[in-house]
Amino acid sequence: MGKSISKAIGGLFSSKQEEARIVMIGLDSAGKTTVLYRLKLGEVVMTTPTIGFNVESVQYKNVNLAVWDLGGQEMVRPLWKHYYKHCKGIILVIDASDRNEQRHQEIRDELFRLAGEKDVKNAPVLILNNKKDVKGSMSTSEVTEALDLYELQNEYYIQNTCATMGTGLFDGMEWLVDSMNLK
Amino acid sequence: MINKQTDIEEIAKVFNQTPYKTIQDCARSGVVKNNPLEIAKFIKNTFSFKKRSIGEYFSVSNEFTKQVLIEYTHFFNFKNLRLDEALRIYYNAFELPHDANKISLIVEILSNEYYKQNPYHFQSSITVYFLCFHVVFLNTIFHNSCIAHKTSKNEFIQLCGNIDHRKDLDRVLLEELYDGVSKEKIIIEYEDGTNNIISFTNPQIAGFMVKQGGRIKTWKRRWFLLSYHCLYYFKKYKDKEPCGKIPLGSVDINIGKPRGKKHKYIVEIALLSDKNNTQKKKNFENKNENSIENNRTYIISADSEKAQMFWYRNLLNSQVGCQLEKLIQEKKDLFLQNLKRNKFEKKLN
Repeated sequence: MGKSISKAIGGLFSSKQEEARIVMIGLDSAGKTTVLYRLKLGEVVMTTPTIGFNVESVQYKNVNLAVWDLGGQEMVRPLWKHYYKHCKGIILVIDASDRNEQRHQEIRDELFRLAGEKDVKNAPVLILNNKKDVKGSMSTSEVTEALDLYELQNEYYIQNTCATMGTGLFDGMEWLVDSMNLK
Repeated sequence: MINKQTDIEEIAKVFNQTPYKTIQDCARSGVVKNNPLEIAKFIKNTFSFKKRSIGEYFSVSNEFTKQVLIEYTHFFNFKNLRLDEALRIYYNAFELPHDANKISLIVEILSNEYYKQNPYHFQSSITVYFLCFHVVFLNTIFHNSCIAHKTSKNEFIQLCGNIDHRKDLDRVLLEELYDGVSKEKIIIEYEDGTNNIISFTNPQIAGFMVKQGGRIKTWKRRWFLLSYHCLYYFKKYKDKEPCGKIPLGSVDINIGKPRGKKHKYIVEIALLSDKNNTQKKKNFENKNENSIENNRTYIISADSEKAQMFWYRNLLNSQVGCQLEKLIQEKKDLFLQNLKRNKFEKKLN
C-alpha cells in the first residue's frame, strides 16, 4: 500500500526513474535485515526462497534504490570491488547499545576500508545508530568518537534510529538521497 | 537412543518450533549424544525436521553449531558435481537466512568439503570459496527482481578469471557455471512444494523392490523412493528422472497375497478413481504421461517380511499425512475465499 502510494507520487512529478545501488554494511545483529525490511514502508515482505543476499529495492522520490545487504568478511573483500563499482551510497548500521570497543574497532576498520575504495570515495555514508531505544545506548557524539568519524573523507551523517519501530529511518534516507550525486 | 517412531515425531514437532533449544534439550536428556557428529547425524536422519527449522538451527552462530554443520556437510556427496549443482543440493537440505555473514560461513564450509571431494579441479579450497561466492552473487543478481543491471557472461568470466592464484580458471567451466545459474535459479524447495529435487535428495525412505509391470506382467527390480506423499520409482538407482510416480492421495494400500515362490511379500497399491483423484492425476500427468493409468493396482514385492511391513507402515503413514494436509488446504482455501469476499464487499460499500 505504502509503496504504491510512493510510486504514484513519484510518478506524478517525474517520469524519469533513477537507479542507484547502495551497499549496507554492519556487524551481525546490528539490525541490518530489520532496517532493510523496514525501509519498504512497513510492507510485509515475503522473503524469496532464492539463495543469495538480501537485496531490496526502495522507492524514494524518483530514485529507485537497490539496497544490498553485504557482510564484511575478510576473505571475500577483494570480490566486492566489482560490486562497489556502481555503488552510490553506503549505509552503515551500528548497534548503539553495544559498547564493546573491539566491535567498534571492527566496524571502524570495515568502514574505512570500504570508504577507501576508489569507486566509493565520493559516496555519502549514512550511519544508522540503531537500537536507540535501549537504555544507556550511545549518543551521536559518542559514535563519532568511537568510530573516529572525523577522519572520514566521505560526507557522513549519523541518524538515531529504532529499526523495529521504524523511527528515524526515513529521515536518514532523505539525507542519503539528497546527498547522492545523481545525474 | 530412541527407537520409537512416535518419539521422533514428538521431537520433530518441538524442533520445528524452537530448533536450537530442542537440540540442546535432546543432548541434555541423552536422546542424542552431545557431540557434533551425533547431532549432525540426528538432524540428517530425521526427515520430519523442517528445512526452515534446520536453517534456523545452523544460523545460531557459535562454535558448536559450526562444528555440527561441518559434520553435517560430510554427509553430502559432491563428487564430480559442478559447483552450482553442489550448491543446489546443499542448499536444498535446509533454508538459510539471507544474512551475508551466515552465507559466508556456510559457503566456507561447503567449499572445504567440496574441495576435499574434488581436489583436482581447483588449486585450493579458497578458490572454491571465492567461486562459490560469485555463484551466490550471480544467483542474487539474476533472480532478484530488484536488480536491474545483470552481470554479463564476459564480466563474470573476467571477475572469476583471477581468483585462482597460480592459473586462470577453466573458461569452459566458468561458462557452464554462468549458464547454469542464469538459466535456472538456485532456490529452496519447501516441503509443501511438489518439486522433484527435494523429494529425491531427501526421501523419507528408499530402497530396492520388485514391481510387476502394468501391461506386460513381468517383474522388474526398481529403486523406490517415498517422499512427500508420493511414491516414486526409478529404473536404476542413479537415474535422475523417475519412471513412475504414485501419488498416495487416494489409494488403497494393502498387504497382498504371495505371487509364487519368488514374490512372497507383496504390497498392493490400488488407485481409487474419484473426481479428486482425476484432478490430481492430471497434475501429475503433465510430466510423465504414462505414469498413471486409471484403476491400476500396483503390485510391489519386497525382499523380506520385515521390508514388506516397513514399507506398508510408512506408506500408510504418508497417506494419512496427505489426507490431513488436504483437509488443512481446503480450510485455508475457504478462509482465503471469505477474506476475498469481505474485501470485495468492503469495496462495494
